Amino acid sequence: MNQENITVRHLTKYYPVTAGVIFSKTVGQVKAVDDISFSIPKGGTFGLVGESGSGKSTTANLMLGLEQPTAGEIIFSGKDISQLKGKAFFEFRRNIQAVFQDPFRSLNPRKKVKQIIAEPMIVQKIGTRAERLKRVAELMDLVGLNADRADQYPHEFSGGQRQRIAIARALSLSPETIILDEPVSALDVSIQAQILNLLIDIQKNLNLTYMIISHDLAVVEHVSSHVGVMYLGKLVEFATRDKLYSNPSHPYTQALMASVPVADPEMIRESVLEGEVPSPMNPPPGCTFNPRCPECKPECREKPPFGKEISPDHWVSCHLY
Amino acid sequence: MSGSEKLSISQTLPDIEQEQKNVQALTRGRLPILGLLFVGIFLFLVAFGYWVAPYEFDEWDLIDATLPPAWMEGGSSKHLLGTDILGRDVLSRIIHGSRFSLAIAVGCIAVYSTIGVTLGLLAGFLGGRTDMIVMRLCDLWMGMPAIILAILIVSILGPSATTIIVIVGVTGWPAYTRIVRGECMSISQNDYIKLARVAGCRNLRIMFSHILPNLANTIIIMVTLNIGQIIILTATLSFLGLGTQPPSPDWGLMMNEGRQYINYAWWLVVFPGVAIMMAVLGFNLVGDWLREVLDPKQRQR
Amino acid sequence: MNAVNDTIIKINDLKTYFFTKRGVVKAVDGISFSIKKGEIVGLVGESGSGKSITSLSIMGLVPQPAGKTIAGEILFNNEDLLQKSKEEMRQIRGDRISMILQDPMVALNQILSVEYQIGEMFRHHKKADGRSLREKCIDVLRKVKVPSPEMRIKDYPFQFSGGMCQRTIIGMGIANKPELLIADEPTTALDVTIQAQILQLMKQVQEETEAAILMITHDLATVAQICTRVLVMYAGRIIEKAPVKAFYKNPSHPYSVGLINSVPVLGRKADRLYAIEGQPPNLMDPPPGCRFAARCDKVKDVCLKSYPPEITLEENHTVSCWHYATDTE
Repeated sequence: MNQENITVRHLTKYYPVTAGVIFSKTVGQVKAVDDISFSIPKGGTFGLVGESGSGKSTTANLMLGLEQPTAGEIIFSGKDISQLKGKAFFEFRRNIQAVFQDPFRSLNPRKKVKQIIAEPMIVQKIGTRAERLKRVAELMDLVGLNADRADQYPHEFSGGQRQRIAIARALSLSPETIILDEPVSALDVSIQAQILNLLIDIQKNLNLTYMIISHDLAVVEHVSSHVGVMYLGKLVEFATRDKLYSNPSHPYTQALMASVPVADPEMIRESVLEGEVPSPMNPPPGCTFNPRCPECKPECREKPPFGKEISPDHWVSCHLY
Repeated sequence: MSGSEKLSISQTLPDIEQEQKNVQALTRGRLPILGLLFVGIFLFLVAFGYWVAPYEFDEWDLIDATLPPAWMEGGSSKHLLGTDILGRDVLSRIIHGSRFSLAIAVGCIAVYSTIGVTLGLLAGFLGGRTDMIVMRLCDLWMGMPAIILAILIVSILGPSATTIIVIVGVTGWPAYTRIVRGECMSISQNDYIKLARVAGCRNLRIMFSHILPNLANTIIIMVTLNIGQIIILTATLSFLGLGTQPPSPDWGLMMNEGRQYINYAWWLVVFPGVAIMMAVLGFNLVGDWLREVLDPKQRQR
Repeated sequence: MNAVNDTIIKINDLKTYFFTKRGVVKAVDGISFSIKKGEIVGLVGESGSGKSITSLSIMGLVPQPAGKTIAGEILFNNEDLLQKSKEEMRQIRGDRISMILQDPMVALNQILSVEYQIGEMFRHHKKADGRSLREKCIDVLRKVKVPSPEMRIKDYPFQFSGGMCQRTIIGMGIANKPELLIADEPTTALDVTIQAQILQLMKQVQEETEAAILMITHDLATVAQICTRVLVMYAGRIIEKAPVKAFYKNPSHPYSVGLINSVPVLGRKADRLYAIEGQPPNLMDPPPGCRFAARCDKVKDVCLKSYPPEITLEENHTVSCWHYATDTE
């Protein structure tokens, strides 16, 4: 069992819902993330898939330490980061960085590129000024940008190039893990391929662990080693990439795979799922998927299912198993 | 744009160039010539007025008192805009007065932009209870009648230029705070703020190193548009006797002093008034132009 | 040219330019195509290709004063839309040609009820009023499969989900039975499972009303799912036209090939994705020859010098590429 990995156990995040104008009281909870557990080996890529309201972005925020979990543990290399405070927490930040979706809002328009890339090093007080500048040049080279452009501003770069700057910044602290939240969704198709190839190359060269969040099943299949599917705050299926794509077991996963339009006119997809994605404020009782599930049994409406390992490295949370 | 003829490239080029000229004429951010001219004169007088003005601001000469402007009967070319009852040259006083106006305006802006921007930043970025406290403070402050506050402060500090700065500074900040807070909240939504946190950045650094530079445009525009208001406010307070005291050549004070002679020495009131108008108009025009030039670019990026 | 072979709209050498301070942006630089009754035509391109401006040019909604359609004709049932007055275009929009846009949440006015907004389609074109108006509005919701339409008609858009908003907008688009429906990225902002529902709905709607649809998108998968014909746009020009099956089986233009190969496909595992190097050209100063030449792996001398002609490969499949020119040099 690889010691250097990421383990998440029973991670939960509830947001209180308040009502009342003068004296507000808590009337309910939004269960954004509801008791999820998974494990990522070092050097692997964990693809987290889900639609809006699934809780995947909240999960990313929790793992980055941007929010505090309501319950559960997030363990990086043996340490539970939800318990870290102060200096220890500050230093832990060096291990995990992020790349977000929108290349236009990820970079401070008032700062030069070299300031943007060097910022994490400045904040963490790493290196002298000269050393940092050298590292900025190295990083720009690594992500395929001309290092002479370090004095330019973000608006002088295209969308794909800005995403490269964002990747360079994420690498500046030499983290072990990078969380990528929809890293290519806002880019043109031909640029997406460039950036995905770049991410894969960097991962191999630097032995990074990735967690990639996406709604695009094909992109996730292409880059991931392990995949998790989330629905309304719950992790309904988790497996290695090959197992999940060859044998999707949870009805929601099956429906997702069947709905994804494929660039092949011979494979016309029928819409499998009726209804809307329900709001996380009012999840249905029992299994959250039951109103839309084609295989719904009476049991599904009464109690929520547990995660079961249906084959090595393949977990499903469903009453069918 | 014709129907059936096929237009070739060479036929359309002259059309295209003409189109381009038409559109450029309409949409180019037109330089506010008048505004820049007035502001330019104002700043020039501030910088070099001391040497340009023919007389000192308190140089009196009872022999040449109450002279009308040079082009009128009885006027003299020694005093182009006439003199007041103490024989002080109106033109020189107006020139010297520009420095007073600017000094006071700068003082006021320094005070309430510091208060306003800081509070706006804190409220917009930290949110929650800080936001609530600052906003309620704003509401309270704006509810207070400014005149009463002004009179209160004057009675404590005594009328002077410093008093004006205190009054304006202390009553003006809520407007800044609200605008800055709004901008700040929208800037905080950007991912680069999130990423600064992920790198371990602390709140103070985020506010001053990341958010503040992005507020620069808004602040510049607010300040420029505000200078006009402050000049008028200063003039009003001086006119009411609450601000600068004689013999300062403050324009409002000059108007106040000249009030009683308005029937036979109208130039004592009119010329300072015109000076105020030109300065205020100049800054307003430049401010409007800055807003046009600075804002859309920001949005495009 | 029209009633006999049921071509609904024929566009000839359309050019829409933007006149900016820095220069003239040739957003749409001479495109020609036609749409027949009952077809679903996919106009595919990336950002900056000019596909959205094409749809705006047809609707007469090009942003002024910077944008202007300076050449070409848009023949809609034998009338040139570019010659019509503003009032005439207003009559045509929403009635004979309709448009639906990308983001359903902002396309609807949040403070007006759904009934009011659907009703506008009828009221503006004087198709109904009074009591029959409400019935018609409920009918529209029913056609697009919004559950309990009699109840939902009184709701406001913020009470609708993204998918339901998009259904409502589709409903509004077809309310007056247009001959042509233009859909600009209709499913991009929706969740995957809702996307599938909406695409299916669009197919149904098209079958029932026999409208022709011009679907504008960057997503090759969406096109494969519902379009009958594909037009590929690059840097302001159309570079390939083909029936959908022929296109995916035998994409011809190097750009089309590159595009198809750079998208990861479910079930097909590849080590690396094919990435088209470089960037699209500057539309203010496009290169003299083929606009894709700088990025093309099959580039020849002639490609840099002159723009390739439109070459017919097989029935209805044309491509603008020197690679396929056999007798010219």
